[in-house]
Amino acid sequence: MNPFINQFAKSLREPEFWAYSSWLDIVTRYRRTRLGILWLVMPTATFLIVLGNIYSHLMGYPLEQYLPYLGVGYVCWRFMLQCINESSNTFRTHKAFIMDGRVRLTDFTLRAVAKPLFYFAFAFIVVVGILAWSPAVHWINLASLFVTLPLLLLNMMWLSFCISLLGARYPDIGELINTLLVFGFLLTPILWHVEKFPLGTMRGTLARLNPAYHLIEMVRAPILGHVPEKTTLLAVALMTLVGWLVAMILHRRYARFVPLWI
Amino acid sequence: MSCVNIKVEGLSLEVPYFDQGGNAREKSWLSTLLGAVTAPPMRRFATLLEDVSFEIKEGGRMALIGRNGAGKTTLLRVLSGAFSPTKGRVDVQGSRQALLNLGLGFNNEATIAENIFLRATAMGISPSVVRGMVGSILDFSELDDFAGRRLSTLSSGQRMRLGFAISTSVQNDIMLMDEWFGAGDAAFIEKARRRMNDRVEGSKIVVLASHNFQMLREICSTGLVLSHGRLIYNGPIKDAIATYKEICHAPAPAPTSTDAPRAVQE
Repeated sequence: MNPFINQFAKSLREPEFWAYSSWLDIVTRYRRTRLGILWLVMPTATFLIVLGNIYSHLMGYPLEQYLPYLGVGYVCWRFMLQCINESSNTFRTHKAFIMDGRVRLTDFTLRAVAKPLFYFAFAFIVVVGILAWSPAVHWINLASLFVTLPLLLLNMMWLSFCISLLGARYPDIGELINTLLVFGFLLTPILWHVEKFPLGTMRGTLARLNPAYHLIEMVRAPILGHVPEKTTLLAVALMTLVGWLVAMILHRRYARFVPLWI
Repeated sequence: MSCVNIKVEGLSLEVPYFDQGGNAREKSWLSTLLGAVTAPPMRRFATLLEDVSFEIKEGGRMALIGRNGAGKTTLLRVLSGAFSPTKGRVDVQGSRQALLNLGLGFNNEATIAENIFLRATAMGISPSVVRGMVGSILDFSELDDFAGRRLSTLSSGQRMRLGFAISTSVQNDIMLMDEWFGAGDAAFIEKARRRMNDRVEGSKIVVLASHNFQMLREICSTGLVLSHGRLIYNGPIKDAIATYKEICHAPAPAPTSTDAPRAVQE
């Protein structure tokens, strides 16, 4: 088996370290606050309810359709953003571990995915609430997550690994990503529908060149009860395959330099 | 693998580092201030270890001796598996435990008990084993009454005791140690020394970097003297210490590579 896949599989089979330490990071952060773990849910809830109300009017969509759309899209976007943010300096923050001879780098990559995943799980409580409230969607559609979520995770894993590797060599990556992500949220169809820019037009093509759109749409569309566009399915399949291939190549070529870089 | 063994052949390690250039001593305060921004960092390479070969067989007790920046810690990091050699081969058989950093992976906001779990799982110990260890670790570090307190409420000495107790709670084939003894009060040091001796006796190979000759004589049978990343002596500990004292008094030899070897900076 490929050494990268092998390493990843081992890390997944031994989740004690990365899962427990990420969980502790989150729990201890809220331990001294009054509201405690409620802080994991509140920001998402406020954001969605306030922004959802305003933008459903601005965009002219009925609230019971718009809120589920915004909710799923936003929570997915935040998850991806946090994964990318965490991984851009994950090797440097775990320098002490690596210098001590713990060189299974995928452990640290998985930490960078696990922490956002915990946040995602809590934020999703809000989304489930919205879906239960909205008459426009059927909650049974949530079952599609069994297929789409693993796909999303698979993509976040290769992406996080590549970014953490690049970030170890070039600290610029962290800065660059911060810059990109600020307007990435507005550029990606989360607040607005991609139907505004139909396929075939210039803007429609540009919007569909955005890989984040396809990942979000892949999760969002089935929950809202329709099948994603063919381009989305194709893009996600391609991303998963090419991404893992690139990660394997980068791993083979550069992983051994990481201790020297950080 | 029943045979514990370390074999190093022609090991060289080249490491990139950034040189900001300039000489702050000669400039005015303002130009130093501006220079910090404008001087381009140059990426250079330093050879930290050059053509080092040695072998440690099962039962070996090896001291690493050398002046500051000679490459002791770097060599330990190669042996621990952190650095892979630029040239040469490093072959390590057996489970290894590096005692290079006692404060590794602590979470200040978590409780002592949680930190024990955290550190132990970071060392690759399975949760079921850790559960059995928590009591004895708290006992040894004399922190029984503090288990539910946050780590940040501990003094640095107590924290060191905790780190020491966790790090030494498992026995491994190979122990790699950097000089770190020192914190902790007299009573604890005595206890720690006894535990260390136990661990050292239980290990099949010990590699210890230190400037404490008395400790080295007690623990090690052979010594390896490093100077500017090169191996200059490998033999009985008494002669190794003598060799080291000689190079300490002799003027430092001019570095042969383009860049003087130095320790990796944080």
